Amino acid sequence: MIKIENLTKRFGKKTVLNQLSVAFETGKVYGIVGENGAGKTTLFRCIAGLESFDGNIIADKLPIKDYLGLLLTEPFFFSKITGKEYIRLLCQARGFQITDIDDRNIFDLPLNQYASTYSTGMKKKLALTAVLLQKNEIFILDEPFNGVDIQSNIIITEIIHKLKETRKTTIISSHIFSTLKVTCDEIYVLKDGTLTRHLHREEFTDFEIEMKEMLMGNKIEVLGL
Amino acid sequence: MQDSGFNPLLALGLSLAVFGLLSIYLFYKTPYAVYVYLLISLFFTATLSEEKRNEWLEYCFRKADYKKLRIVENSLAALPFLLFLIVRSYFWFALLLEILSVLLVLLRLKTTVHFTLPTPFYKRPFEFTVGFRNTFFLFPVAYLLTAISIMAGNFNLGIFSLLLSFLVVLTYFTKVESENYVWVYNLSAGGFLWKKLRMALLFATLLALPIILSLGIYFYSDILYLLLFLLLGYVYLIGMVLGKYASFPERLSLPKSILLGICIVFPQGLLILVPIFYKQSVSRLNRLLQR
Repeated sequence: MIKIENLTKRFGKKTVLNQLSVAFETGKVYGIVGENGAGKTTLFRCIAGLESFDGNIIADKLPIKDYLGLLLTEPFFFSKITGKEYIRLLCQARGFQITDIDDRNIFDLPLNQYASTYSTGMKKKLALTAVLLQKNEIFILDEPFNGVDIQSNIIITEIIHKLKETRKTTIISSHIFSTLKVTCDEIYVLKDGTLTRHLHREEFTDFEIEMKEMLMGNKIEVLGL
Repeated sequence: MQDSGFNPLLALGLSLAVFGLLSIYLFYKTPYAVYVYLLISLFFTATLSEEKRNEWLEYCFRKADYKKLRIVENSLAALPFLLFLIVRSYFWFALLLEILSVLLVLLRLKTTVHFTLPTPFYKRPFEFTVGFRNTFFLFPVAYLLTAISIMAGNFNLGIFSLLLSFLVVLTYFTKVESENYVWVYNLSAGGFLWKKLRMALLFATLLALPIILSLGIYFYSDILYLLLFLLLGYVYLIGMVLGKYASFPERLSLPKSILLGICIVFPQGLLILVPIFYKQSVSRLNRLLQR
């Protein structure tokens, strides 16, 4: 379990996260939705320990980072490192050697090719594979569905279901609500640095309709299609 | 170009002047210049036939417009060569060049060749894996210098080859990784630095081993000097690794680079610098690796 109490993060005078409190229980999948700049990535970076902050983040096992698989929105790859070497690096960093990488290549990536030559979706899949092979307890997946093809979309959805089955804690952010709807147990809405809504599975559909009405209004009609 | 501080017109004028001078030089140097010239021109024009670029253009324009655009592009690319051939009265070659340039419109070049250079360091990414792939050709040069030093009985040249191999390895630690590449380690700051240093020293030794062994055998009487320079290489490498993380996640700062530079002349300075860099590195890394 991860318990966040009164988390505040400021960049200069700008408050990005404001007195945010939330608890993520073990074995559940959580979704975080919010507009661009709402503070999702900053929240994830604070949990991971990549940012300093005011407030408390408590977990069953500390430091969280040793058990945390963090998938970034745009993973960084060196220009001359292959997919396989990247996975090896991430596993070695966690103190174990991995030998059967080819057998675990679920996305059929060209692992002997330089990762920097991969497409956006392939980079995402490589980073996700590495994070999964690290044997983590907690997963933060920032936009895991971004840029990936339909087949991989299905695989990622299944992976998230599997993570839940195996009692891992998973926090996902996505701008594609339909993917959150099928994967999450609970969804939080982050707005202006605070969590404004907390939704359970049975409320997802109503929320989607509500969001559509609020955001769209008669915007489509004015196109006169 | 303007962003880089160049006046585009001035740059164009200079490029044409350089092109003209190089063309004159080529025709002055060899009787086969016209053939070489033709090939150079076609080579440059062919780069416009890159597959992805053409797919994009085809997507943006109607088929007829796309063809016209590509013919104009290729003709423009060949134009300087064409004009020079006309000035030199190679009319048939000029005509041939124009025809071939237009025909190149039909060509599609796949430029995405995926070749991965093998490296002995693939099991321990990333500094030596990436670094070796970028600089692999410099090691045969260093080894060749060692061989020459042995044949010529020149120990100083041998030492130079040793320092060259260390200098190349030092460049592997000039690249700053993303924070996540540090954060991901479940080590303390000290443990992380120790791991990086161990790897740097081990792999630098492996790369310099042919030089060390050869010089040690052939210049046995100078072995103490050899070991002294080897030690210097190690200390400098330690200074470089620690210097990198003392500035992390920024690049090695200018003052630190100057201090390291001064230590080339006064290596004793490393004895002061290394502990300072270590302390700064731990302090910088603690933010990401606090336990």
